[in-house]
Amino acid sequence: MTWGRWVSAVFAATVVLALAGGVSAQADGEADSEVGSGSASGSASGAGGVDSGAGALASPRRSEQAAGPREPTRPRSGVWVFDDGVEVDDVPWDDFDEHAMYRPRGRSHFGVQLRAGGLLGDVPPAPAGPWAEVGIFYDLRYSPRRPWHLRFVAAFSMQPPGRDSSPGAIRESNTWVVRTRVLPLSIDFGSWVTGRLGGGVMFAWLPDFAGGGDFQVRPEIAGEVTANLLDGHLELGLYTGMTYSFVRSMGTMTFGNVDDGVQGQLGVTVGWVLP
Amino acid sequence: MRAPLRLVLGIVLAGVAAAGCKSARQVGHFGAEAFYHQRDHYRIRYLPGADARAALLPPGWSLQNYAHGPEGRPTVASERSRYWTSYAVEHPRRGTREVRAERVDLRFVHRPEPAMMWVRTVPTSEEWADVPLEGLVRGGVLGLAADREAGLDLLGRNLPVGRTEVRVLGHGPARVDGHPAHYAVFETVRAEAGEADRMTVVVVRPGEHRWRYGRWTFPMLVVFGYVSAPARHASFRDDFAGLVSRVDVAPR
Repeated sequence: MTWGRWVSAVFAATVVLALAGGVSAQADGEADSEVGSGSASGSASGAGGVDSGAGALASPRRSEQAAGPREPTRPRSGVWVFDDGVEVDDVPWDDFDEHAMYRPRGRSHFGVQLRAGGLLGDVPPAPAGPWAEVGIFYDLRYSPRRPWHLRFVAAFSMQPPGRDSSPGAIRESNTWVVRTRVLPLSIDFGSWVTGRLGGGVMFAWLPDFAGGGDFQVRPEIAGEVTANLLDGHLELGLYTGMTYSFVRSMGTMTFGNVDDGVQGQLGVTVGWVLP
Repeated sequence: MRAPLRLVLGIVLAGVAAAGCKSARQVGHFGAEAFYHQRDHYRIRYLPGADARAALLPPGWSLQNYAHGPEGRPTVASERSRYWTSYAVEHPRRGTREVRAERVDLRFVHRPEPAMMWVRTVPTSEEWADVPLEGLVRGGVLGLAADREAGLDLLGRNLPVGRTEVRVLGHGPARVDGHPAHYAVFETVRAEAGEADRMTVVVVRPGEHRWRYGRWTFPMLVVFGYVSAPARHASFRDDFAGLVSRVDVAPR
């Protein structure tokens, strides 16, 4: 028997013992034609002990990752290299799944919104009439793959003041209101529609008749349904809610009495969600 | 219950139900230039010039575990049970929980020459995190011969159960996108069928990425493989090597 045959026999026995165990093993010549003879020597070196095989893998050879696409490398020097040379940074990593994730992309966003509509219900002398609000919001999505999210809003609204007078008495309603809202029940219905429901606290500035004034604080309820356009950045929809109007009155027997009344809200909302 | 209240409650419940209209069960998504696994640990870039079709393999191969859009572009993962499996995941403090997850990330079949190629993400126990890949591959190959589940599940149990003989043809270290891997080429012969299937598998640890289930994470492996008749096995090797060579492991 020649030296070459001795080496082949030892190699075959090593592979059989290391890999197959109780399973029938066959390191035939066809295997070499599949994966290259170099791979066989690599496996043999690791076959004597698993740790030694792992150690051989522990030091990647960066020279094999030269820039520029190239053909898949067949096993040489005992390592079968799968790498076409394109680095991760060469191609943008687009992790947005349009079938499972909700727009706009990202977990949190700031945005601005404008609302215009009307107040429903008279709280004399506060009129049932036009009402407008401008605000900023912050959206926080719990998971990009789940429809639930949370919206915080800080807004500033204006409504026409009402004023009336009668002999010996004068009444005036509020105009400016600062509103803070939390909309925890915010749900995306698919890609295009979102519903939000929540509540907040309003701080209405109510002037007195001496040039000053004070803030009146009440809770309020708010809800909206919007259509989401332009990749989720433009919101167009309807809002509704419940708020208060305040009236300060002054008469011969009273000075600065404050009354309030509940009013409904209904109108349109436009929002722009920042990237 | 008063009628208006019932109406409001009905609207709310319908809304909550409709909120789930996005596909809840995903494996990954086909982006502009690559397939991205949903756990964000790897992607596979499309064939050059095949971005519009989102083709990962040359003509002749078709992706089985995804629905396709009108232009042949994969859209959402198939809900068929054969593509899904369950893992009993174990948390050191919270106990064991059964988790339903993808059996294969991608499963292709070739026509007219019968062949199958797959990519599979496998969560493993913490004990396997430090086991050399060679040992895991060996265990997986030997597990095919055992008439029960044993070792690393290289194939996602897609082979018919039965007594199987395994012949190892070769194995050795590999590298996938610079990460340590191990490959093996072997044949399986089921006693009742008498015909051999030849398989090539490559198992890689994708960096420090871990398989996620909520807040639980586990060590993981990614298995690439293909199977065909022995005589045709070499003809599919370039397709396989090309697919694996276009894998990018996500940076941490």
